Amino acid sequence: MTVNDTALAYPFNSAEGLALSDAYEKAQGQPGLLRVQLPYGEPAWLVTRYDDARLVLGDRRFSRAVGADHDEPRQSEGRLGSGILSMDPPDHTRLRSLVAKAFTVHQAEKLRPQVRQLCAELLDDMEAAGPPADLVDGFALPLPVAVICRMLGVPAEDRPKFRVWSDAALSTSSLTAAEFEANREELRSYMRQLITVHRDDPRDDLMTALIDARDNGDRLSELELVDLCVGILVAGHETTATQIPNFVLTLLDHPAQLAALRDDPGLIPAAVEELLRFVPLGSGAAQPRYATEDIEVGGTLVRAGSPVLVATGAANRDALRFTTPGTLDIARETNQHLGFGHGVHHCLGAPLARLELQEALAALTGRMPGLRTAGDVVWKSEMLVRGPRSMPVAW
Amino acid sequence: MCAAIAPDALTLDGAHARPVAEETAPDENVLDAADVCPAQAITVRADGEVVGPRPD
Repeated sequence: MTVNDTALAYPFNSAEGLALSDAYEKAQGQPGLLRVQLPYGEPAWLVTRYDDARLVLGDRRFSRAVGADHDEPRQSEGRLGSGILSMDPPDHTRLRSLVAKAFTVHQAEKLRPQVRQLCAELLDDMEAAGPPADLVDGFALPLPVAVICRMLGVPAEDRPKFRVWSDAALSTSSLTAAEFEANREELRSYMRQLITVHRDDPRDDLMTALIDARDNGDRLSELELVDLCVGILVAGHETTATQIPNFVLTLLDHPAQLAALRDDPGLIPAAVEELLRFVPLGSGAAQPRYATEDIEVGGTLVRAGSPVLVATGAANRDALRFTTPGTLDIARETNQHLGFGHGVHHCLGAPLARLELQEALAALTGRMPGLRTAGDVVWKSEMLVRGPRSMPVAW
Repeated sequence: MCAAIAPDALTLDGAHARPVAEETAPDENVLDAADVCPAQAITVRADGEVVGPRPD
């Protein structure tokens, strides 16, 4: 790794575990932004404070699309490149509006009974097989996969296939640029074939609705259609599947909070928000924003054309915004965390993720009051998101 | 996000969005913005009746 004289090697967090590096708190107490160097790409400014994070994520003078013309700071050699997360308005708005209506709070809420039943069925299977069980493979992964597959119109039986692709899409240093590219093409061709099936045989699902927007409304290109479906599939399960075991591990680390949650399931929605704030999911900030004009951020003048990374996990522990930020408090009020980001790229699936996380915690705490780890957690390594790859549990 | 969907009606004011004016002409974009607001913070009324966010 090349590190120049003034830039700190980044990311700070270790891939194994969910700790937030002390370097963030130190940075929050110092004026100005940090200069960091990721394994690949140009050096970047790093935002760690809450107010600065909201500014950079919310202000239209910061662009994602401009990154395409630069050597973007990133953890892997390959680049995610196209896709809705690399776009600015109005292109971004055009695509996002097409899918946004499927992910409103109201639409997500309609899925609650199905999600609750899925949780119950998965726990039935785990109980029938008996402990120890892998919480990831037996519960945390199949739940969001089933939900997003049903919604998008992808056969859930293909889960083993896209688990490999999805892992690769979010991997950091394990793949060369060529391997990364090959993986993306494989995932695209899988999706193209499913789109063909849906074109011939329209169904009541999101893929059919998007095909209609392309074929009858000309509102997106064929490649945009493919990449949007791929993006929804990958983003639709990986993060939630990772946060379920992360939340369980964090609660097991805080037995008094866990006991409070068991005693009063009414605390579950607030607990999910607090866990979204408290658990730093990412190994480090990704998706740099490029300044399109000179802008002062947190005491540093960011020049036009410079990239800025936003460490939301650190901003979520900013003492200027949250009282006792390092304490997990599931009854915390007015919890405006940045767990889903902020601004135009605020997580599309947030309402669905919230619902899945709430139902998952309700099912686990309600049915398995003695839930505990029953062996060593194996951590994902070299992934943008941190969490257990497998987590043996008993109950 | 709402300011991107309905730029004629909504504007970002620091960290929060606010309406450009108390009243706006009937506009599909405004209803879209109300539908997708993650905080469900936008209410659209027509002649005193709530018309957005839409239930479906």
